Amino acid sequence: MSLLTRLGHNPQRFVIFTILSIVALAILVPSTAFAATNSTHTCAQTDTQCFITAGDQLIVLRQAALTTLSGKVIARENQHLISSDQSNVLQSDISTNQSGLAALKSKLDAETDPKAARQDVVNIFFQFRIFAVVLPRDYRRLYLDIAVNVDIKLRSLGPKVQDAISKAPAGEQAQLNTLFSDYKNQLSTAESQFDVAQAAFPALTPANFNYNRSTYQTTLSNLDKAEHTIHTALKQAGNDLHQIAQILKGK
Amino acid sequence: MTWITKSRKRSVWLLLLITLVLSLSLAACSEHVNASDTNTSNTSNSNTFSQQQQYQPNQPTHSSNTNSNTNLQSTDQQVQSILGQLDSARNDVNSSNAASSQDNGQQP
Repeated sequence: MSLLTRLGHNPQRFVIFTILSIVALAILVPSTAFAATNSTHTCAQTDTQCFITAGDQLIVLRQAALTTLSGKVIARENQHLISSDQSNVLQSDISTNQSGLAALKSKLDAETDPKAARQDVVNIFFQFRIFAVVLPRDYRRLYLDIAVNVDIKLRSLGPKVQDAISKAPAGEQAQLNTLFSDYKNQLSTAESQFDVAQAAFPALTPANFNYNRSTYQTTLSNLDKAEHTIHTALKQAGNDLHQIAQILKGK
Repeated sequence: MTWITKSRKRSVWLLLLITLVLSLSLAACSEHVNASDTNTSNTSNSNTFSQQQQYQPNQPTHSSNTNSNTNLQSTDQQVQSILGQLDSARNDVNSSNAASSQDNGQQP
């Protein structure tokens, strides 16, 4: 007698079987849906092809992440948020890493010795550090480039804001000037951090990440503090400008 | 085999079929949602600015006595839009931080 026939004869077993099936599917479906993002292979020490397959998957993930960054850099340049020179610096770094990964993939795919194939896979992490170093560094550089240009833009608006304030009713001059003074102070605060932030980038390398981790972490922390200060200051300057514009609206 | 047994058997098969279809639908939906989220974030980043609102670093600023306030209103809108882009760039930094652990993952 088949399982289904036996279940058909016993309603209680049938209900339990159905519930267990649903629970099993509920567990299995999400795990398969996201398997691509959490692949953890374990290869036998002599299985060269396993190392090649796993390494190729790791490289594909990194190439895709670099392509995404490249797309964002192009988008920011098209939006005139960064200059072509600033874009070129980032695209050059992306291109270097993509070429390096492509070369490593060619080497890995041609390996016949499992030890060499395994070392190639280790190098995907160790030499490139795409997720640990390259992407965090380059996204921070992209952010800083945009922030510098926003500051230039806001700084250039000073005379226009001053002119508009000078034509405002006398009763509003004090409040407007307080806001304008804060606007300028916030820009000065942001500008004071630009050099600090720029100075951090040369130390953010895979080599420092691998061999000089404490220096790397300290530098990254300093960069984050500088960019946080810049962000807060520019947002506050934008808020000051918005308040000035609202007060002058309709005057 | 009695009529009741056949009927139960059919019910079991039907229920299993429905469960399978539902599970596959859920899996397909989750993948579709993931894909559309990525596409949405990419397109929204690239389309937020209109041509008139784009940042022009070398554009000279000028004011006129007659419409300086009107200019300031439009400038303010432009600046708020640019600051929105700055927020977006900041979010990209945070996302890259979140993904950085992938380099500490298990090696084969």
